[in-house]
Amino acid sequence: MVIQGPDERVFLGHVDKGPFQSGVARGRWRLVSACWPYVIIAVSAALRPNAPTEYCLRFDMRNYPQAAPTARPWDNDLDIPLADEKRPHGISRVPKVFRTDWKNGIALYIPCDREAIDGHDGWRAQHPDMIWNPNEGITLYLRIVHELLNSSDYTGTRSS
Amino acid sequence: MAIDTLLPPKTIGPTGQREDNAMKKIEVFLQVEGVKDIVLIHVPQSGSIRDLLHVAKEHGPEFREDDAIMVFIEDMDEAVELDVLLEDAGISHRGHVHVHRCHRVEVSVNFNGMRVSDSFPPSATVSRIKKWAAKELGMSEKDAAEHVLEVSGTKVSLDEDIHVGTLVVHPGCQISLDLRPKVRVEG
Repeated sequence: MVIQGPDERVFLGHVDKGPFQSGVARGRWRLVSACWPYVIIAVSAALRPNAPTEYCLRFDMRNYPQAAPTARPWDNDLDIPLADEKRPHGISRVPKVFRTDWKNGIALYIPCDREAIDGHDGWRAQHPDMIWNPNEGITLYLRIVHELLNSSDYTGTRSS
Repeated sequence: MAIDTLLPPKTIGPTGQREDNAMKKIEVFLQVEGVKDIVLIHVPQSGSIRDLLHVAKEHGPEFREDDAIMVFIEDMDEAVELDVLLEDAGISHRGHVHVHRCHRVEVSVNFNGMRVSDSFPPSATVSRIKKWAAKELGMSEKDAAEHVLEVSGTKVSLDEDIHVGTLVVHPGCQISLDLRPKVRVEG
C-alpha cells in the first residue's frame, strides 16, 4: 500500500478541484505523471513554426502547498531536462523566464517559483499577483506559464 | 476526470435506460456572484436549471428566499429559464455557468487617460471584456495580448477565464478596471 504524505494529498485534492480542472477542460494544461514529490504537467503553447504545441514542466512539489514548487522544462520522452535549444523563446518576457544563464536553468525565473524567489524580495512589491499563494496552489504557477506561452512575446523554441 | 468515473454502477430496473440516465451526473464549472474560485459541481444530466441552482446555492453567498437569482451560460447575454432542462439549455458535461443576482454588470475600462464603458452579463469572461476594450481603444490584437486587466486600485491582474460577476456583489452591479502593460520579471 502506498502511503501519501499530507503534501501529496493536498496536491491531488487541488488537481480535482475547479480551478485546475477548468484549465484542463479549456486545453490549457494536463497532468502527465506524478512520482512524488516530482510531478510532470504539460502546458499548451500557441502555434509557432517548428515548435511543439505544449511544453512539459517537471515540478518538485515537496511540502506543497506551504512551500512554493519549483519547476524546469522537461523532455518527457527522454525523462531528462529539456535541451536548451528546445526551450521556449521569445522577444522579452518569455526568454527572461526560461533563461539558461541563471542557476543553469534549473528553475523558471518567476516570482512563484521556490528557487527563483530566493534573494528576490523586491518581487513581492513589484509582482504581487505572481507571488506564491498556498490557497491558490498550482494553478497560479500554471496560469503564469500558460499566459507566457500564449502571448505575442512567445516566438517558439530557441532553435526554431 | 472522465465522465465514466462519476457514474454509479449500471442498474437495470423496470424503467430500463430512462432510469439509468436519470442517475447520471455531469460536471459543470460554476462561478458565483462575488466568489473568486471556480467550483466543480455535479448535477443530474437529466436535471433542470433549477436543479443546478439548488446545488450552486451551496457554494455562493447567502441568498434570501425572495432574491431573483439568475443562471447564465458563459459569455451568453441572457439568463436561462429555471425550468429548462440542462440539455435543452446547451449545458453539457464540463460546461461553464454563472449564478448571479445582477442581470448586467456595468464595466468601465481605463487606459492612458481614456475610458470606455458598456454593460455585460455577469458570465462575461475577462478575456471577452479585454478584447472588447482593446477594440474600443483602437489597440491591435497583438498589443492587447501584451496587456492585462486589473481591478482599479489594485496591482492584481485578472485571470482571463474569470467571469466579471465574480468581482461584484448585488446591488453593486458595476466595476472599474484598468488595462496595463504586462511587466517583465527583472532582478
